[in-house]
Amino acid sequence: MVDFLTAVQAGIETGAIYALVALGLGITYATSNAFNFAHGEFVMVGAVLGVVLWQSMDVPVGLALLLTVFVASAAGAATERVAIRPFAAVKDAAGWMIATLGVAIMLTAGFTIAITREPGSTDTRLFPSFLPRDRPWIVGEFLLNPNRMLLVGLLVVVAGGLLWLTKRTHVGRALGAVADDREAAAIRGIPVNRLTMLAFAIGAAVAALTGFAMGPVTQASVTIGLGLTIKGFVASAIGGMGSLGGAVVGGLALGLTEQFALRYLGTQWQDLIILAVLLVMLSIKPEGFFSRDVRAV
Amino acid sequence: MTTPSRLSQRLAAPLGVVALIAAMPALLPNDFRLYTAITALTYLVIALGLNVVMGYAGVISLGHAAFALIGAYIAAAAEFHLGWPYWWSWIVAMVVCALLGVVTSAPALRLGGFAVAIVTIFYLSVTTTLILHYRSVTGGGDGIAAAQADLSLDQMWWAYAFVVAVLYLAIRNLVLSPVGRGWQIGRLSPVLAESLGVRVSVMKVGAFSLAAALAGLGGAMYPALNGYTNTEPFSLGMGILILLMVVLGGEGTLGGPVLGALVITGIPVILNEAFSAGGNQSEFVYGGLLLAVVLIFPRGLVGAIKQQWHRLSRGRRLATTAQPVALEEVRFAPPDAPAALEIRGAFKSIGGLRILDDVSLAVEPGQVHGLVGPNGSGKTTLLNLIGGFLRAEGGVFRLGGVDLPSTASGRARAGVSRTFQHPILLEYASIFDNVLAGVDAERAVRPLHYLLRTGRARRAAEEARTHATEWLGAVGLGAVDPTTLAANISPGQRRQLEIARACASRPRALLMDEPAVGLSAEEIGSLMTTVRAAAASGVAVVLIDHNVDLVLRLCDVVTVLDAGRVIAHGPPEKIRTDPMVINAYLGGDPEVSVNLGEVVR
Amino acid sequence: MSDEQRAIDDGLRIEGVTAGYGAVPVLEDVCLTVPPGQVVAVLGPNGAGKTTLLKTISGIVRPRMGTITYNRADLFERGSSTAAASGIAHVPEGRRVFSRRTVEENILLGGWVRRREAGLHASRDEMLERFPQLGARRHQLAGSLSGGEAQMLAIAMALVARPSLVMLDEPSQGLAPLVVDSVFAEISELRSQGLSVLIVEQSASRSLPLADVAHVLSLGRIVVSGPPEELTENAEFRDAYLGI
Repeated sequence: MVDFLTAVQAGIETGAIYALVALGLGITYATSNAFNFAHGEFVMVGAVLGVVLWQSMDVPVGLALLLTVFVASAAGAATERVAIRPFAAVKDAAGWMIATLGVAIMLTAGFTIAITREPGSTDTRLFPSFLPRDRPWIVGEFLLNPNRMLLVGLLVVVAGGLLWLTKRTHVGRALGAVADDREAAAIRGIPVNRLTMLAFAIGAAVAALTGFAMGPVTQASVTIGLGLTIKGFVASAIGGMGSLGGAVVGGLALGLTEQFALRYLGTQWQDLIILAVLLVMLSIKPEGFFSRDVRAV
Repeated sequence: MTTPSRLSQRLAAPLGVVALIAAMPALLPNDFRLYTAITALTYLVIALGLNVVMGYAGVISLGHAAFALIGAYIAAAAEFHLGWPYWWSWIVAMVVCALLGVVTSAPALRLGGFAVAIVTIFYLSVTTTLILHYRSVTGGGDGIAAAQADLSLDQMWWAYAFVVAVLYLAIRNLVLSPVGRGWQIGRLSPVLAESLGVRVSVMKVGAFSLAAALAGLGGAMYPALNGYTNTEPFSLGMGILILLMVVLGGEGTLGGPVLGALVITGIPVILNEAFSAGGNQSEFVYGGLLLAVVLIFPRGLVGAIKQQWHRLSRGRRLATTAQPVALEEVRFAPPDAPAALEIRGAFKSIGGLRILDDVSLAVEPGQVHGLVGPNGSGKTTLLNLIGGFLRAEGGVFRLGGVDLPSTASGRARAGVSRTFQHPILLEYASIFDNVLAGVDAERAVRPLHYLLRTGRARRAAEEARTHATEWLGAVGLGAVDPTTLAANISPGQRRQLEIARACASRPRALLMDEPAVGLSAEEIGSLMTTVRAAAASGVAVVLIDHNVDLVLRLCDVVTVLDAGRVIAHGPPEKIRTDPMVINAYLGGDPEVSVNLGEVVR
Repeated sequence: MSDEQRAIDDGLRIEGVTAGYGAVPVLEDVCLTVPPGQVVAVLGPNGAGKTTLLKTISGIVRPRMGTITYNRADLFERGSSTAAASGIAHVPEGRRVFSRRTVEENILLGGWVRRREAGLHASRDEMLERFPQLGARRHQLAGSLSGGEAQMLAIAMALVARPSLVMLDEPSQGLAPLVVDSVFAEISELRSQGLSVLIVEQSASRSLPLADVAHVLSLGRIVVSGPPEELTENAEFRDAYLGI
């Protein structure tokens, strides 16, 4: 029983990360109908740039976080402008797929070059905890690590924030309109291009925030980008492409699946299980569980 | 009869390539360079396959290295455990990977686009995990130390280059055949492909499987060259490198992968002079190149070169309007067995709304049957039902007394052809190739013949070319240079071209969806002549158009739909004066309808 | 400038506009005016360019040649169209409401140009009152509305922006005759409130009775123009409209 619950706990903690990645990916997908291959790289930037600013350049942690998120947002907006918008008119997916893949590769390679410049440095940097307490709480048989709890908390805050944005602000509503029917939004005077760029900036900001919060848990490694993008995609496939609730559910479901596969079957079968889940989901319900596709009755 | 100078012109390029291949070992300064070149050849093999599936079938496979990995291990394990000579295991690797390609593409291809790319990445990681797991056969992380092939480096270069050349020619044969055209059309518009009788899913699985087989071969060539294999070289990075070769060179072009392989292999060589450590700098450049190429040269270097060439050559000038076609001159090749088209009691609802209710229609061979009705009356839906693009909830659909198959491609093969509201053409192909796509629908030759360019294939191609020329003439495009790109002809000519393609398969029924949209009065005249010619050859024609006058002048019988039901049926004169029709179209203000009704004499 | 002259120049003026999507222009040298307070109908078959005309005014399509001014201000002065901000509302073909947003949210979105105004929420409530079917469904997803209800929503979305010119693209398309009656009744209402209306339609019968001026668009060009009474007697109009 304890084993089971520990697995559940680990699943939720890991799932929170995947859900956060899926949330960011979902905002960009909904407004542009394109999956950003470089999304995971913004998470990486959050961790790596964050730790470099904080540890190597002695910038106070709060300011480091702010700067990192700012840089990532700018990069996100730039990605939309350069790698997504030029292909908006073309139906072929190949354009933005390859373009964002190119951006992803450039970011990974660029940051690798940057942090391995000194001889002997590796592609991973140590990321100390920035929370006031970093020893776990012990509750019965369970260990509650504050850094991991932070990620779950971050998911709640971000999801809540995005919900508020889309339901209660004009900009958020307009983002939803752009996601729904881009041309119809443009006809009503909504600046669709600028809003899409904003969506990408927000997505990248969420990603960077996630990366920074993840740092103490996974350390800051330059290679995590593509893997996280893929996990984000799988989470979206389960929960529903571009849907807020879907990203959360999908991410948690993926985290749980992964942890259970790990504990009861071993590391080597993880990817196979996830592949199977992905194929099953895409075959039986390609739009995911939470897609709300309403047609006129 | 090719003159000697023509012959030498045609042989110049191939001979040049052969000479270059033969001389390469002498041209390269050292063994390491030669080794790099041979390795590049193995990548090129994989790239040729990826080009087929990406450029022609439109599927982006990022984890293609999975098949190369499998191929490498098959070759190495066969040599190490069983002592097989490499060329045996190469063939086995190709066959195994082809089969695996079929199995893995079925679930993946239904997803399309991004999802396929991600799924293939999973294939790679799962395959790698499995290989590392079964240590007894694969040696786990250490890999297999199979023996190197018993050839000198020079001989290996010639052998590998020979293999690449053969593959290139085989692929070229396929691309220039109906198979290749089928791929291109499937990528352009699955609906168009289905309407030409191409089973898009089968075609894509075939392309994927071919690419997998080639990847398997490329991988199998690795241990023969290196004397061992493990999982390291077959990573996502390799997949991306090969993707870059295809994209940079020009996906969907024949020379693209070759040029791409040349450039990509050259980069680290150049970079090594400028930077101390290759790895990450090259990666950064590759990423930048991917982005740059897809933004600036979407069709790659080869595509950009072709575009320039077309700009300079004759094909660029906008073709002049074709002369109106005189009826007496036009003869359409008749269908084999003219048949009547019969629809009875068709029902269709979408989302709870009844779109079509108990609609019946009968068209005799040689008849032009007009289908009219106000917006939203269900005309286009009916056309799509007849063509098989939508499933009817009820009703009988027969051609020549035989029930039509349920799929669109099945109906196309049964003899139902169609045109679209806006002609769907291969814009960057010549008008000749576009018509050829329609002739292809008469296909009777198996793809294998095209691959090997047998006598049967060559004869069929010759016949097809003759027919294509005839069809171009039949629709009034005979005076236009057949190499003109479809993108450069006028709207009226595009329509005529589309009709030529639709009729080139000698269908028994022809469905036309608003063919007069966007045409001038003169062009409509040509359209009418062409439609009459098609009917005269024995085709049963169904025609929708909003141009009421056109329909009344062109059709033998007219059926009028309103809100999903047939409200009138009969010869044009009767329809002109039918009060129900006038009301449906113009209904509302009685004063206005009376005035206009008088006009619609 | 005299008052008369000013009145002539006010309103929507389209002069020599050529526009399209690709190599071939859809509209060629189109000239058209919608004087303040008038109803102008543009008729023509499918493919004539009617929807492209409205999309060009709204800025979805860029004009390659010619000018479009509204109340003497060039709509394209700063690159993209300022139509919505200048008081031109567009009710698109096929309604195009945001199906995954609620009726309420849709109306708010229609008022995007007024988003910084305090009165926007009050206007939304006004619309919900004015169109009771919408009011009854304010929290429903717009995708679940019937065709007629969606058309009313699209009109409400246009009105909430407090426009001076409303453009309607085939408002009767796909709707049952009774529903079309109520839609056109609503359109007459607009005119009596002093709004200018530009209506684009395939069928003449509904729009001609309302219009002050009608034009026929064929293959991207205006081929015949005039007041409805004259047009129905005009042989050119009959040919252009029926037999193109």
